[in-house]
Amino acid sequence: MFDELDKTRSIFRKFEPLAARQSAVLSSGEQPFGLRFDDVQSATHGRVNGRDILLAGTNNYLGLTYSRPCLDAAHEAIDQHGTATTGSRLANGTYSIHEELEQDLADFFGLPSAVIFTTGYQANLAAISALAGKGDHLLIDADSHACIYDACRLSDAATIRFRHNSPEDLERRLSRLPSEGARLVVVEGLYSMLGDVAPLAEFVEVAHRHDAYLYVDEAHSVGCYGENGQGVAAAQGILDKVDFLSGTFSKSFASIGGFCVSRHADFDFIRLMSRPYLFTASGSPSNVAAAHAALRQIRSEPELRTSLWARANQLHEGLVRAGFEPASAPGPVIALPRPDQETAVRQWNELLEAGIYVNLAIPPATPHAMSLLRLSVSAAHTSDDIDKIINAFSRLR
Amino acid sequence: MDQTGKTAQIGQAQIVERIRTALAPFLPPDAVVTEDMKIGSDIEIDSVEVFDVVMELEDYYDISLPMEITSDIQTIGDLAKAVEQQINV
Repeated sequence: MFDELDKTRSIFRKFEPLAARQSAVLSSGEQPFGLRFDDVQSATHGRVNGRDILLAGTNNYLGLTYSRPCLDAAHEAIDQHGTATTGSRLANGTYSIHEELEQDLADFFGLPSAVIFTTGYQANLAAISALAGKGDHLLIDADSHACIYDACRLSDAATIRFRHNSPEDLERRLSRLPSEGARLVVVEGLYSMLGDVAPLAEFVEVAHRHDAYLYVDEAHSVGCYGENGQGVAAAQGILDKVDFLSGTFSKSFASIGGFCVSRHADFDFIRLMSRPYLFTASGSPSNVAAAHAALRQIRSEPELRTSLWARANQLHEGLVRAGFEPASAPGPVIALPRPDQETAVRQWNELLEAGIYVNLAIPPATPHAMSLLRLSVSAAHTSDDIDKIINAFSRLR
Repeated sequence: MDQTGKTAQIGQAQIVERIRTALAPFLPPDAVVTEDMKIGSDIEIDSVEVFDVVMELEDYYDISLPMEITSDIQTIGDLAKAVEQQINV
C-alpha cells in the first residue's frame, strides 16, 4: 500500500529538489548543516571527528556557556526545581525563578513589562502575532529573520514588507495605509546574516510620526551593544522610545529561551491570549537560572563587552588585511560574501580541515542570494585564537 | 479601469506589461512571460525575488499588496488580478 503511495502521491516528493541541493553540498566534504560535534569543551573549543576545532560560528558572543556563575546557577536550579516544569506558564509552569527573571529584565531595561518565553523563536512568534490582530498592519523589514515572517503568518494582520534598513521606504509604505487599525513596525537591531545594524533612531521617528508602534528584535545585539549591554536601541539613545524589544537567551545569555519587554504595561495581557506563550511548557529551571546568571554578568561585567569588541575589531582588521571584504563594519557578526555557493562550500570545508568552524550560509537563507562564510566573535576568544582564524582564512584557495 | 469590462481588460494587459518590466532584472534577456505562466516553476525566480517584484509593483501603482494576498498567487495572471484589485480598492 505505502509502496504504491510512494509511486503515485508521495508526501516526500516536495523534498526532492532539497535532496538534490543537499547532495551537491555534501559532494564537497563534510555536512555543513547539522555538523556533529563529538563534544564541546569550552565556549570556543570543541571536537569534530576526533580533532580539536576552534569555534568561530556559535553566536556565543559573551562566551558565558561555561562561566562559573551560569554553571552553578543551572546546577542549583536542577537540584531545587527538577529538570523540567512540565507545564504552561498559565497552568503549573510559573515558578518563582520565571517571575524573578522577568522582574530583573524589566529592571535592566528600565521598562514596566517583561515576559519570558521558552525559546527566542517563540518570543517573536508570541509577541508579534498577539500584538497585531485583524484589521491591523504589520510592516516588516525585508531581511527579517524567519521567526518574524512566521509570526506574521500566525497573525491576523495584513503584512507589508519594506526595503531593508530603509526608513524612507518604510515611510512610503506607511503613507499608503488606511487610517483604520493599529500599525506595528518590526525591525532587528543587528541583522544576523550580514552583521549590519539598523538605523533605529530614524525608524522610531518615522514610525511614531505615522502613529505606528516600533518593535525591535535585539536577539544578536543585547549584551553586545550599548554602554550597559542593553542593545542597539540603547546605543543609539532611543531605548525609552522603542515600544517593544525582544531578545533571545540562546546567544549572549548562554541558555535557551527568549523575552520581550515593553514601555507599555498592557503588554502583560499577551499572557492571556498569545498561543505560542500559552500552549507550550515554560522554560526549564536550569535554562531560566542560567539566563538569569548571565543577565547578572552582563550587568556587572562590562569587561566582557570590552573583550568582545577588541576581538571583533582584531578579526575584522585581520580579514581585511588578508584581502577579504566583510559585508559590514566591525561587530560581533562578520560575514564574508563569496563569489558563489561552490566556493563557499569548498572554503568552509578547508577551514574545518584547518581546525576552524564557521557558519556556511547559502540561498535561500541569505539576502540577495548571497553565499557567505559567517563568523561570530566571542569575548572568550583569545587574541591568539583570532590570529589563528585570520591565518586559516589567509590560506584559503 | 472603471465599470466597463473592456477598460478593465486593458488595465490588466498594462499591468502584465508592468510585471514583465519588474521581472526583467531576474530573467534572461530573451525570456518570454505570459499570463498563464506559473511563478517559481515556469518562471524561475525564488521567493525573495518575488517579494522584490511585488515591492516594485507597490511603488509603481502606489498600492499595498499584503503578503497574505501575494502568498496565494500562482500565475502572472493571478498577480495582475491582485494588483488590479488593489488599484480599485
